[in-house]
Amino acid sequence: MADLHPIQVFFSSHHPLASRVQADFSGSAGDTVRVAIEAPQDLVQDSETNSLHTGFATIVLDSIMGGAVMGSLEKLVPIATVGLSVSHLRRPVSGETIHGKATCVSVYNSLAYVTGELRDENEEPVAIATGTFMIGTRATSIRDRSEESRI
Amino acid sequence: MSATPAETWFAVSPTDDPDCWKITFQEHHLGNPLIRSIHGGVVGSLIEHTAEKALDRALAEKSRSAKLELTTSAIDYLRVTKDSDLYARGSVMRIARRVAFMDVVCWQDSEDLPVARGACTLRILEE
Repeated sequence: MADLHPIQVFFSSHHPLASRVQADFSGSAGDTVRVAIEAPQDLVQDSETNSLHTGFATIVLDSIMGGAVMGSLEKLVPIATVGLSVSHLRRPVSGETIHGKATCVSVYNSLAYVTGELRDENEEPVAIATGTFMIGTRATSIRDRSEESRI
Repeated sequence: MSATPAETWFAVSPTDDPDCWKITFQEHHLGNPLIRSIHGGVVGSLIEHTAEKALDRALAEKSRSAKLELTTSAIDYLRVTKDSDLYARGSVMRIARRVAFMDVVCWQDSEDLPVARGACTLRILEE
């Protein structure tokens, strides 16, 4: 797995969350990663329209935006989401292929500034996002340091 | 009303407090299995879900019936989470004619130690 992009590892692994969605790593270039994901039946919120819970977009965007940060690092260190803002333009429908793209725009004072978007097969936007991620967080369990901050 | 597939996957349910919702921890909610913290997107999902449910309740109290669509969520992650249940409380900042603004606080051990907060904007589509 040494040559795989971090987001590729995430979506191809036995990770308990990632293994529940059909995701294909489409590629990376510099600080940008791309994935294609089939909108899962598991996350349908409206059974009449088969449209998904907004949480689907939030989970995918947080994952790929974090992956863009990991991919931009020279040395892999733990990261944590500090802030995530998502605009949900429309709800994907179960079975639809959604294309995700995330770019780590800049890193300043150990904070990574990231943009992300999900588009449908017609390249119409489904959700757009910006986020900040702290680089170099403590990678120990909260159970060992319940009163401390990780970020 | 039966749970939707998403509500089942998230294991989200109401609590005794009508403005509070809960996610019962599931193994597939983990974001970082090494430190067993919940995925930030799952935390965000509870915040978004709670904002919609709390607004739905607030509108019902005003005898307004509307379809709601969450348009934007801005989430701050305040503390690392652990592998236990998540709770969230939604409150109304303002309900306008076509949009509403909701604040949501999310916690695990104690409401005084929030793990995240969210500001959500929802579109009100009158039926």
